[in-house]
Amino acid sequence: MRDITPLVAPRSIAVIGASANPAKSGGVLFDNLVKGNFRGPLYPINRTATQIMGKAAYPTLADVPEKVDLVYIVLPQQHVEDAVKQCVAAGARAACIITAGFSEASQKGRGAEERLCEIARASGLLLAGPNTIGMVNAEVGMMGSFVNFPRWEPGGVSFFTQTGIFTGAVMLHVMSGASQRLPVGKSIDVGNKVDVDELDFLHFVAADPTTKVIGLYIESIRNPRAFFEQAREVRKSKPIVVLKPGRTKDGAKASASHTGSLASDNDILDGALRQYGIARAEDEDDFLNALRALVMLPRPRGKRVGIATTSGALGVIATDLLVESGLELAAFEPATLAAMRAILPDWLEPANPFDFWIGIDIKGPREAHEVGLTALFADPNVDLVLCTLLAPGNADFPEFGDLVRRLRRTYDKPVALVIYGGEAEQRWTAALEGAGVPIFKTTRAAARALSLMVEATMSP
Amino acid sequence: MLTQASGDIAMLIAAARAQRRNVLSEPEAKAFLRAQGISVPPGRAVAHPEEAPTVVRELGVPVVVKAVAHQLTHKTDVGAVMFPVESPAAAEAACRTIAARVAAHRPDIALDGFLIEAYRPAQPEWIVALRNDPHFGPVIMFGLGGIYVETLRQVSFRLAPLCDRDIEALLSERPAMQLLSGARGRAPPDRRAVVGVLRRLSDLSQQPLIVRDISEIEINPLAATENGVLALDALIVLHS
Repeated sequence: MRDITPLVAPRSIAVIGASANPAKSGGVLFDNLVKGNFRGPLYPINRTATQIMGKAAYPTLADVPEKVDLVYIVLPQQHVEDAVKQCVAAGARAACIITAGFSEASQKGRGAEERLCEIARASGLLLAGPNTIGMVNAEVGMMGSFVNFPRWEPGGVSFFTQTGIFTGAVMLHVMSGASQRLPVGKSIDVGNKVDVDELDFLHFVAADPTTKVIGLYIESIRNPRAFFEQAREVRKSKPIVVLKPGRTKDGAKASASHTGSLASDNDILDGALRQYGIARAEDEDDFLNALRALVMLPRPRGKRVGIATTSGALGVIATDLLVESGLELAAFEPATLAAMRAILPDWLEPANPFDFWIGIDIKGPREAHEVGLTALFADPNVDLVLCTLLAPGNADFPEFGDLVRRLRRTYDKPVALVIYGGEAEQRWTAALEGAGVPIFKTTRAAARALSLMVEATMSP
Repeated sequence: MLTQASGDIAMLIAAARAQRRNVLSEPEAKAFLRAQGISVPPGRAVAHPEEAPTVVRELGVPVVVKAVAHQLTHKTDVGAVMFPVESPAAAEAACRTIAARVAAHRPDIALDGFLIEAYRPAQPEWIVALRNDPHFGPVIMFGLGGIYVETLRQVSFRLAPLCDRDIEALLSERPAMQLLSGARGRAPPDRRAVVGVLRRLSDLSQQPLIVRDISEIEINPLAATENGVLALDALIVLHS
């Protein structure tokens, strides 16, 4: 086990290839580091400039007056190897190679990448990349990426990704939302993953007090046994969601045995993730929704869901999705049913899903929501709550936000909310900002988020 | 020439290595399973068709007749498995038919002989396997077996060794596993016997000799009835 703190939370940073030109990757990356208010010294390395963005520039890394923790390398491909050697010679502890054009591009690139790997192994230099958008750690003000992120603040979600531009796209998407923003505080993209890997990252986040929830986008696991053993420990306090594409890539291989042709890496990985209680997201939507639920909500105590809805159809849709995902419908206590009857007409018997639209007609929106939702939240058989609520004018009431905040606080149960089309939708959403209630666009998204949450937190 | 195989895995491995093959024959694999406490149907391997009737008279009818050749790992594909065979004379004829089919489809293969076993139908057929995967290490697979196993893909994997919870998950993860609880009026199979096979393979996965030499142990089909389980076919592949 090794400590990747110098890479993820460095005390000092140099950028080889920093420039004052905002059209170049090295220019944007350095600009982002400066504007992000990195907490330690920043050293632009540039042969000709004396100063970049107000920071004194040095012609080579050897000229920098201290041994830096981390060096970003933003150079044309043919100069990268030499720069990595300079990092080793100058006593740097970590390097992040932004440059692309290695194993992802060609056989020649693969050879160059293997040489980088050998240098890292021989010297102990921590290496991220090549072919990465870079690394962000809001806690230390490190916005080390050539993607121009609009804003960044510390948060409980930590990302580890093994990809290039996808990470940047996901981060931009995450940050573009006006409300319900996923609080990602760290995003470590290792690109082609020549050296630092998911196991190093798990060791780091295990000891990181800020990290509450972990999101991994991985194309492979380097050392599955060690990874799963570590994940088993980490998930006890920090749930893990994995997005690993390529479910359909491996067809049947020719093999002497049936087992040989069935044992694709994907299928074995799928079994192992279930075995160790790591949630597997199917796509980027699933991934972000699960992380949002996990970081905003308390841990579920079981897998029995109570559904409250003001549309019978949405209740049935939710039931299908939840049961298909392995969750169960809660059986309501007699006291719950009695409380629910108070807002329904004599001819309608409450059930799960609890459809109380008609209660709005009878008792008005405030009382119907308050009595109905309180009964559902209070039921001891309900471990998780899914609400699909319609928001036309006649269902609206000014205290909606206060009611849901109070229920969330009083019962401390995981709740997923879908607010369906209507005048009140934006106001309800705004009223719940910061309340720890995730709001989802569709019933599917909400149901998937709850089921992935159960996978990631409960005993597998 | 066929001899009755020993169940000692070290000897079986040594014999296979000496012959430069990395697949154990079905009688060898079954001798090993029997030594591990996993039941196989009563039966005997013979070198020549004319020896078949004696074996049938010992076993009683019906029997299944199969080609024995370690290179022939997908016997059904070339018609090298015949069942139910209802008389001693029919068993001898089945041996000759199988020999002719193998000669026609796979002239590259030399038959070692024929395996005559008591015929035990399996409905459904299950598959259980231990694989020493090059990337993940030892893994256990369980699922719906038979010849359509790749088509239906009702199988699940877990990293070995397995705990009780892992075994329960393997026995319930796919829709087809509901058949373990009985279906269409059939008595549910002996679940504990199925669990026992999984646990045995899990134990084997931790033995140094198995890890060092064996790439796969596959039982397909495994019959599971209310009276227990029976490995109807088995394949052991060594690391090449």
